[in-house]
Amino acid sequence: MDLNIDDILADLDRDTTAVDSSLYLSSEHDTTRFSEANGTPSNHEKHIAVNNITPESDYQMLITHWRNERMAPELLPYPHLLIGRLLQRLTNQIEHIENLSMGFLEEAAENDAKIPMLCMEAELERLKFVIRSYIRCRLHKIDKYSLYLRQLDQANDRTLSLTELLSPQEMVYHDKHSKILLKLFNNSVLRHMPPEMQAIDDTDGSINMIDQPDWSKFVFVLIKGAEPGEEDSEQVLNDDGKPCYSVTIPDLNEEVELAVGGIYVMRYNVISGLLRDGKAILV
Amino acid sequence: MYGDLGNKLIREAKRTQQLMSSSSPAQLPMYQEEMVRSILKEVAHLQRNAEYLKEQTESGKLFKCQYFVTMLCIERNKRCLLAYEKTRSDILDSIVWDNNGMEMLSSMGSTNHSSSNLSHPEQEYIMEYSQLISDMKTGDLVDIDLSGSLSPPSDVFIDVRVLKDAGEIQTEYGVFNLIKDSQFFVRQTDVERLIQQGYLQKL
Repeated sequence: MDLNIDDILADLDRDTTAVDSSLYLSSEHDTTRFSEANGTPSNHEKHIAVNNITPESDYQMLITHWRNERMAPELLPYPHLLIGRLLQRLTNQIEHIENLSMGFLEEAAENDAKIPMLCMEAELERLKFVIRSYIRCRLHKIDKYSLYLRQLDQANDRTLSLTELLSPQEMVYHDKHSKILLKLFNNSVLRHMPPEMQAIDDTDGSINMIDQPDWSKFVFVLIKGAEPGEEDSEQVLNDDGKPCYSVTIPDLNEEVELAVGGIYVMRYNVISGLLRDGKAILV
Repeated sequence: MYGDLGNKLIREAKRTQQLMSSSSPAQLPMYQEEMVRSILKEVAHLQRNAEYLKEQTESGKLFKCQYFVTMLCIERNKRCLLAYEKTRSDILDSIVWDNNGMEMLSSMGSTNHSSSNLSHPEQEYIMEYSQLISDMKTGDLVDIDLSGSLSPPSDVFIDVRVLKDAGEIQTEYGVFNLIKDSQFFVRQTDVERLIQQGYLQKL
């Protein structure tokens, strides 16, 4: 008879990391040597990753946000904390690089390796590019849906307030840009219209002047499933025994099974719930 | 018929859109001042009609119907005018993002060749919008150059060739002496702005 001892082994693994972290408290230097000597640095890192937020996980999250934002038809909520952390790190890293390059100049050492500096700078450029692209994408959507966002702000029956949806700068941009755009329209067109036609957000006319996001746009979606180790109440097993989510397409009144790990072309409004919970990502 | 002029204006807007998507150096066509003015005249005319008809609406269904159609015509004209104006303002926005975010912000007249093609409110708008963009860049996001390149950085070093003679121009990261047809092997981030301004050509 085979005994499954995976859980006991996992327990033992956790014990070593506990020693690690206690050593970490007493003396930093010892810990690094300890973990290196035992060849278990990865274990140590993993332990920290569970408790804290690492730069790597933040970067992964940024990439996910960026992708989702670029593909989704609507404006997604702004990750205030994440961007705050990233910007802080960016500033620190720029300072760090500057200090290092100053050091190089002073020492003027012949055999100094240039590779680490180059890598750091290239990495910085890449991170800056992702954030820039992310923000520009959001600004584009803000321009497109500015009247719709304004209307959201005025309606009180919303779960998501505009301050959560937009960053402070984006709020300012949204306000000012719609103001100067309105001024342009007023000066060149609306001034000459009869009073009952001067509204820019007219909804009673023959056509609605407020552009809404196209909720039923088709998007490519990858079903990621919940974090490993977490139980998910929505998840059900399908006939093959694979975990999947069951969603309903409202206009067709049809149930669809979305297996974890699969890629689907789906209407946005069908999967927006899963997207918000981080169980699906757009690709 | 009423609304025909608006149709013409929309065709003009379509043409503008096509021009913009085909050629990269954005040269916005003339503002159709004449056409816009005649549409506005038509609107004023319709408005007078509407006022007259409104007084008569108590006296029968016929007037009510006439009033309704008049209002529809005005609305149609309004839609055409706004659509035209919006098309142009969208292009202006992209011009501001592409060119004016650079160091040349102060000397806007020289970078923007089409400033004479703009109507007066549009000139005001473009000034205010570039002001807004530069405000955005001095906020929290100061480390990220928002108007920078939107194509991902793939190479650290690139070869560039100087297209226009410009003397000693670069100041932020050290001085380059830009002599026409000379070639440099430089870090991409240093010369990105110069490429966008058209002094250098990437090889």
